[in-house]
Amino acid sequence: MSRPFRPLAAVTGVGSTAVVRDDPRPLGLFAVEAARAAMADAGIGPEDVDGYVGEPEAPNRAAPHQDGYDEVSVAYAARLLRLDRLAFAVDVKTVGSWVATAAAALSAGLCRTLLVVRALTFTRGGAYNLASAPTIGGAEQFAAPYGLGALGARHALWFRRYMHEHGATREDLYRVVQRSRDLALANPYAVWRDRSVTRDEYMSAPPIADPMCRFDCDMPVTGAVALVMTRAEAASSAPNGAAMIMACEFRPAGAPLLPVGGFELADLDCAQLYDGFSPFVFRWLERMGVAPDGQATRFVADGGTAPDGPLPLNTFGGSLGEGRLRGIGHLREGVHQMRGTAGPRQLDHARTCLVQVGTPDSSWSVVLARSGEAVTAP
Amino acid sequence: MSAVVGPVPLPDAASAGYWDAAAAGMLCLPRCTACARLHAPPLPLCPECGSEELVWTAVLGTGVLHSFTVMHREVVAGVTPPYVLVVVELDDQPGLMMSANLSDGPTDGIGIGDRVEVTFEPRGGVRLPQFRIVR
Repeated sequence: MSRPFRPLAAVTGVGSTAVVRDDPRPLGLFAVEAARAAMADAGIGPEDVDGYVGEPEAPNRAAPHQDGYDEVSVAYAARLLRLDRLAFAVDVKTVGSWVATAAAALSAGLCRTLLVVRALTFTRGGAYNLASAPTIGGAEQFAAPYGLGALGARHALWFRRYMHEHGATREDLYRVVQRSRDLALANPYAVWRDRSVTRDEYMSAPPIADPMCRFDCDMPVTGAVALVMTRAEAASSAPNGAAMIMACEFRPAGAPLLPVGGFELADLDCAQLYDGFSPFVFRWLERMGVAPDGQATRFVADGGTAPDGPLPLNTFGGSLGEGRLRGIGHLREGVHQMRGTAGPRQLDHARTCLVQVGTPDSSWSVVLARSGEAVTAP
Repeated sequence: MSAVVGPVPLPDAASAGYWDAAAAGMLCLPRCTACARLHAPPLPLCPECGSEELVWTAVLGTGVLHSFTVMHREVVAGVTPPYVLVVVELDDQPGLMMSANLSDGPTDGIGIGDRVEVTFEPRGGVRLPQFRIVR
């Protein structure tokens, strides 16, 4: 790093449920399980928590939006977790804005110890991807009448053009999927923790939005992840170490991802980039400047994103391997890598990590770093 | 009266001119009087320069296939798979893109760069601009 950076906040605890296809338990219990695990990891109890950031919204298009069943509001979580001392509490709507909201509240002195909770399920309320309104207004009036909606149609359209312009093929998508699925075998939370995908399975899978098949789409799942965050100065008391939040910036469609908070590509040792659909990986890599336009497929084919490559990517298997937690799984893995608690997935020399939460149309870039010398190196 | 298939667009102040023109068999888009650029789909102001001075302008209704995908799952009730989603670059202005379906005519062997022309599909009380391959 070319100059000292001052951390915005610290992640001192992380907790997760298993990521499952479905489970009859109320979603509120997933939130509680993840939050209790995060607090235990941070060595604190509910009486220490004075801040809360949640993202309750159920992404299922047919969601009943019932608190505790398919969504978890701050009121519900506070009651079940006995968070009786909350001085700051918000439920956010923009995907991935937990980190910025939490860091802002901590650095403004609105609270000292904050819980971030994201619990979500896709499997309640009917077919998760089916829009069924008889009439449609707003921006969707130019999309839904054509059947332009879920399941990655827009990204299939993007990748078809990319194939045309740059000579990419389904082999390139398969390389992304295969690496994610192989890495997920070392992720005990992952929905695909026990099975990778063969080339034959991939190539013979029926298309969903061609050239994408179901393996190019992350699985809609049920699960929860929670983080404990504190001001940077309090990080040293965390019993299992801390990951420092170094930067956090929103990225609208098309904007270059880097630099973010002064961090350039050369400053980043690994990345967890949201891979809800496999073509995202190429888009992110090119927007990071890892490869020129049209060349990210070559970077991946040459092993550039492997754990021993120049930019280890989605070391937990990404959402293609773990399931569709909409980015908080990526954040959890970034925290583990920076704390040295990633177990068999641990990278040896990674001191910084870029986490990208959201889709290429609307996302947050978060830079994490190891605590200690890495964050103040000249 | 033809059967309604899929959701029916709800015109609003920014889009009524578009759907009115389509009902009359014309593809009209907003043109900015300040910077002279067309845009699609219609927005309440010019996405290029921010001006709210827009006039409805009939466009040629022809273009080339910029990209396409065949959807094999139902994601919008009533729009029954398989169907072809297309992005068309209109002839009127470089980079002017519209999303629609290939409605009638051939769908086999289509490719990026194929010439297309607009056609209109009755849907509820409106007509939906669609495209077909011109060979």
